Amino acid sequence: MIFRTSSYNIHIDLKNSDQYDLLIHGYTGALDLVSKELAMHLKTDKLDKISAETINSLEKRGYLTEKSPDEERTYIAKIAEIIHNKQKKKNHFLFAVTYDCNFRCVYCYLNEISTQGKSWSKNTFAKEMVDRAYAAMLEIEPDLKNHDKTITLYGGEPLLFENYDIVKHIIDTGVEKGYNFFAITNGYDLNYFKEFLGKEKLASLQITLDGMQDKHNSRRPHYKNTDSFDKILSNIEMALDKEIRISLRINTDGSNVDDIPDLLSLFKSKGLLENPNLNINTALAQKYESCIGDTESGVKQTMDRPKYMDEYYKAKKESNDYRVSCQDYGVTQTLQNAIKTDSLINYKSTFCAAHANMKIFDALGDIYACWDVIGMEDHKIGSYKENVDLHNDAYDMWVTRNISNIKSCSKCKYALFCGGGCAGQLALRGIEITKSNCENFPQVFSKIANEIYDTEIVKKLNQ
Amino acid sequence: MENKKELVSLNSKLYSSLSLEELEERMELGCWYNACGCDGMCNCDGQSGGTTCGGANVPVTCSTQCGANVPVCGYNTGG
Repeated sequence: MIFRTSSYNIHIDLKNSDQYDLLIHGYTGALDLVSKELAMHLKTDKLDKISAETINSLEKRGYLTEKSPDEERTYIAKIAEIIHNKQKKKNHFLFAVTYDCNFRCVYCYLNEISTQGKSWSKNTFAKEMVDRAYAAMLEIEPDLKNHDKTITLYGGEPLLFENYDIVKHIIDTGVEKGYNFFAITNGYDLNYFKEFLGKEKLASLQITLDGMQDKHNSRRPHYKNTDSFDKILSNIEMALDKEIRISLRINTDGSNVDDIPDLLSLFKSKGLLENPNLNINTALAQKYESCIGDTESGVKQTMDRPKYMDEYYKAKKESNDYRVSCQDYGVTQTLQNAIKTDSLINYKSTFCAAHANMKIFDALGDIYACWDVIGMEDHKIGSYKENVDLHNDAYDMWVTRNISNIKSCSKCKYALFCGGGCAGQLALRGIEITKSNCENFPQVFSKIANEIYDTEIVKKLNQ
Repeated sequence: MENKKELVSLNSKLYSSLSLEELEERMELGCWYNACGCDGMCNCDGQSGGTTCGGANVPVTCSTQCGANVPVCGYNTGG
């Protein structure tokens, strides 16, 4: 048989190993340590230097293949379609309760659309539209088995005190129909919604704190009161007392990354760090030309993702209390799972659920797929005002996007790990979402793989 | 762990061991990444309740079948 080296071999140079490099295959899911010498032979296509036994192993793992480059591309596209079709089946619904917000965050994506005027941003669900949205959910998918039982409340700020009545109507109606809720909230008015907190109603929350008091207040100010930090912290404690799961998010860039250890110390001193219902995670604050880079607001130019990963690993090494996860495209968990449980690699053909099953209802009767682009006319995927109309160019663009139809992705060895990158970011920058958004993925992947070697694989080798 | 000196395999389950038809069937069955009832939609590890949807690696509540698929991938969100 005539073999060639696969176009989907991912070589990871292991910085802390004299003996091995890591070889990962982009569509068979193989993960192997290979001697540095063998890695070099593969990279330089010197297959005649490799023993017959090793050639046989490499072929079984997919690193050597009989497939032509075109056949490999066709194969990966088929895998992507299969995964995508599965993802599309279950619908996840969100209510963008309002576009209004009581915060004026320096980096908010809504700054992009706030030019539509104050009265526009005050649009909030009416009871009739809530009922219409619940009916639309069944029109979109009549089989409740294919509905995610958790509905997300989003905005703007979904839990504004002045919207209490409409939030109550959304939750009461949903609970009656068998749903529970997750809210992405700034946490400021959460105390007014205490009665809804519980596993059957508002079961989980994402709340953002961007650092210690001064830093947080400068980046995420309340429109009227200068101090939002203390109130949010108190509401987090209140929700944790009610055993609500909280994902605490820290939107991170060069100006607040050093605040994270202090924030963790504060949580530790309050006994919150050990709380199993609290998960703390950082996310890389993205650079949108119109909102980030304003030095007066205290937000510096955002880091790129490789730098962000470096800072994260550095901080983790410095303190055992750095119990924080980071926004790593899910690669850490994917590789760890494959190694720890010897399961098939959890490949993905899309970057996120916006390309599969997310339906965001806004108060105006419009439907969006991605929450970063709600309110943007060009990215409306349909409407539900009277009947559900889900088929327009934007719908096709958002819902069909997977790595098999993004030009540069099907040729990319990382494609099934990356999913094509965030389309929402492209849209906010005015770039067509049919393109890929690589965001230094190979560099980030290499950093993560090296970290997993240092922390997991070495242990396994020594067993 | 198979140690062949030159090549040390870290996992054994490969996509290439399945035909595309078999892969499709396993997808239909739902749980195929983990033995946890995960429907594979949320990248949940089925143990910690963590989801990594969209790469956010944000651990949020994962409902009964790990299918909560709470896609906390939004950038710069937070209410």
